[in-house]
Parts: sequence; C-alpha cells; structure tokens
Amino acid sequence: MRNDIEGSASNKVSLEELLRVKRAEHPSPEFWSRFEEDLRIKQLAAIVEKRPWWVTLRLPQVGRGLALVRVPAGVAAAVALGLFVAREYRDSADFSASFAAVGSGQPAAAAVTAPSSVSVDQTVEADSVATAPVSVANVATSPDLERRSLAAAHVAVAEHAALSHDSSMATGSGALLAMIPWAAPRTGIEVGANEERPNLGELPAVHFASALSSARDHDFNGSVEVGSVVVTPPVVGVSEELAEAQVSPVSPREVRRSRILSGIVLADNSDQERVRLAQRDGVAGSLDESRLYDSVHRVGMGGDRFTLKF
Amino acid sequence: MNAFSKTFAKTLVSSPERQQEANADWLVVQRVQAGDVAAFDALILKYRERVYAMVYNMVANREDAADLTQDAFIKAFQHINRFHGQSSFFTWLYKIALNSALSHLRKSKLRAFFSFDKVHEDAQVSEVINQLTDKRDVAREAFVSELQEKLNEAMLKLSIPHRTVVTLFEIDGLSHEEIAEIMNCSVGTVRSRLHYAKQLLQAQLQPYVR
Repeated sequence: MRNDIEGSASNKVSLEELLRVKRAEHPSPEFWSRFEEDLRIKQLAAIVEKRPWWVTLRLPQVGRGLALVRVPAGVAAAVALGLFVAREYRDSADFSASFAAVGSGQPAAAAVTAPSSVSVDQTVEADSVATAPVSVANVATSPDLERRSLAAAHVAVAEHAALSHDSSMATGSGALLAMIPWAAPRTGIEVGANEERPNLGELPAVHFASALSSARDHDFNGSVEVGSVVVTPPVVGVSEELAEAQVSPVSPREVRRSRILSGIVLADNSDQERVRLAQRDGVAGSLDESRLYDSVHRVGMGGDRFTLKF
Repeated sequence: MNAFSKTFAKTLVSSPERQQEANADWLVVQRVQAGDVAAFDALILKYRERVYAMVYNMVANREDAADLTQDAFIKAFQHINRFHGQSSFFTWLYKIALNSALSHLRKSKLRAFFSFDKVHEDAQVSEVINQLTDKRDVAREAFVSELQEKLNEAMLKLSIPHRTVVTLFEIDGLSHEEIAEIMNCSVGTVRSRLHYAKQLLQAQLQPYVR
C-alpha cells in the first residue's frame, strides 16, 4: 500500500490537504443522541449540592434534644479540648490555692498539734531530733523548694538520730524550735548521694495533712498556749544563732514548716513503709470527692435536655 | 476558488458573519442569565460538534472527548453568570473546553488510549484520498484507516501547545486572533508555533506529503 505512495511525487498531497482528512473524522448521529442523554444526567447531578467534607463527619445524634443540633467532629473536638484545658487550669489553680490556704490557716491548730507530735516520742528519737541540727538545703519559698527541703530534712534527721545520743537538750518547746528549718544553722553534714530519700516530693499538702492526722492519734502530754507558740532559750548545745532566732515571733509559715517536720520526724525508721502507706491512704481521704467527679457532673442529660457546665 | 478555500479564507479574519454570530449568542446568554435556562440548549446544539472536534483532536479518544465536551458545557452553564460579553461566547466556551482537555492530558500522560472516529469522506476528502491512492473498495478503506492512524500519531507527537495551534487553525478553522485569545498568548506566538508544528508534521508525514 505504501509503495504506491512513496514512489511517486504525484501521489502526494500538501499538509493542509492531508489535515483535511483529519477534519473529516466525526461521529455518527447515534453518538449524539447518547451524548444528549449523558449530558442531561450530568446536568442533574451537578444541581445536587455537595456537602463539605467536614460536614459529613458529624457526630451521631444522641437523644432527642440533639436531633436538631449537628456538630461537626472538628468543632466538637475543639470544644472538648478547650473544656479539658480550662478544667486542668482551674484544677491546678485550685490546688495551689488550697495548698497555700492550708499552710496559712489554723495557726492555733498548728500550735496545738506540733507539741503533741513532739511529745509522742520523748525518748532518744525526740532528743536526737532536738540535739541534731536540722540540715536543710535552703529556706523553701515555693512548694517545690519546700518539698526538697523537707526531703533533705528527713534524711538529715534520720541520720543524726542514729549518730547522736545526746539527751541534754530539753524537750517541749526547745525540741519544737529545733524542728523549725529556718532557725536551724547549717552544720555542713552532707547526705550521701546513695542515701535513699523518701518520696515526699509529690504530695506536700498530703504530708502536711497526714502529719495533722497522725499527730491527733497520739497523746498530748504537754501544755500549750493556744494561739501562739512560746519559745524559750535553748539549753546547752544550741548555737547562738538559734538563741537569737528564738526570741523572734513565730509566723504562720514557720508554724506550718514545724508541723510538717514534726510529721516527718514521727516516722519510725522501721515503720517508714507503714507510714508512707498511711499517708497514701490519707491522700484519697483528704481530697474532696466532688472534685474527683467534677468532670462527670459537668455533662448532664435529662429527658429532652442536654446541659453542659463550664 | 472552491468552497473549501472560500470557507478557509473567511475564517482567517474576524468577519462580519462571525461578529453577527457573537451578537446572537450574547442575546441567548442574557436570556439564560435572566432565568430562561432552557435557552442554553440552543447554545449546546449550536456548538457541540465543534467543541467535540477540538477536544477529540487534542485527546485522540472519542469516549474521553465526549466526557470532556459534556463537562465543558456543564461548567459553562454553571458559570454563565460570570460571562459578561467581553469576548464572544464561542471563544469563552472554547477556553473552557480547551482547559478541560489540557487537564485531562496532564493527568493521563502515561496512559494514552486511542480510539478514532470514522472518516466520513466528503467530496474534498475523497479528492485527497484519490490523489494518494488509486485503490478501491476494501483496499481503499484499509488505506484510509492507515492514513488516519498515521495522522493521529503525528499529531500526538507534537507538544500540547503546538498541537493546540494546529487543531484550532488547520482543523477548526479559527483565525490567528481567535486562537491568540483562546490560548491567552500573542498573535505572533500563534504564528510561530503554527509554523514550527507544520514543519514537524511535514517530517512525520513525509510519505504522504509532497
């Protein structure tokens, strides 16, 4: 076939004429009838409004009250996240406020309980505490620093309880004074790196509360002046700095610290685990149950109503 | 000057007939914009074959060409309110159809399935084929099929801009100015592309072209 064309120039045409053959390509009439039908179908399909993808992801209807409310999943997730963040912020703010309130409030109770906690063990342990200078890292000015100072105080006191047997220090107010961290001088006694530190850092307020509760369980043998803590000059063994500190009035902050320390001192070396468990139980008991289940009470459904508390 | 040449020459410049056609189209468009949606059918009947031919020569597949042509009319109908008569309706419709075809070609670059429409020989086409071969009957049909295949292969070897220019000018018979408006380029660009495309086609179709 091609040989007929290739051999002769007269059998060739111009490009424009050749492209005319291309122009002659067109479909049959049946094609156009089918074309019209398909076009009608596509026109009708184009009339249907397509929903955005985020609308198709709507939450299932819950209750008759939500029948008219359809919230996209993205909006619901954003609202839930905002509620969660707000709740967490409020919980942390409430926790900080309660921590400060417990420390600053009830100075009379602190004055009453602290001596009683000291008087429980008027034996070598209390005397050891009285004589052993409390070594603290620094004066805690924030809850975090207080926790560390409490832990350091516990370790130092425990160590000196084993080392020191000097019982020349009188009990009562002198022993109480020795437990006040800010008044105790640094002795330079270091706690070894391998020393096992008690886990007091997580729940300082709980320890405080458990100290109160444990103090109430013990007998109260001393007499205490309600409303203030009367401090007396120490006997032999107390440094001059301590003597100076003793004449200054006791602030609620120091009272709180002394109460915490007394709770720590009461922990028996052999019964540390039992005390820790008791403190842990105190955690659940001291926390307000309504706060634990607050999130559940936020959402409520009744009949045809849906409530959401902010 | 035969009828083909007369028609061919007419389309090279903006003729009064073309202007008159544009004015008539604008009146129909205004009716559609006013709410008479049934009036759009008249525009479909008027331009469906030309639009289909342009798209078919671009994609070389009749089924795809049919779908793309339908999509072009639907898009034109949906956006009819955006047409304000700044150009002729035909030019505006061609733009939509050409963009649809180009999008299709970009998506289906790797998979190209050809299916051709039958060549309906009219007097002019028969004259051309008679010049190329003296075969008759079945042999002639086979020759025409082979010729058609060679033509489409040559067109598909052109780049998309060159193929577009050849399709609009040589096959659809549009003027340089109309092609420049549809392709959104200058008239000089249209002429240079057309010249280069013809050179390529000449080399591809050398056995048939003198």
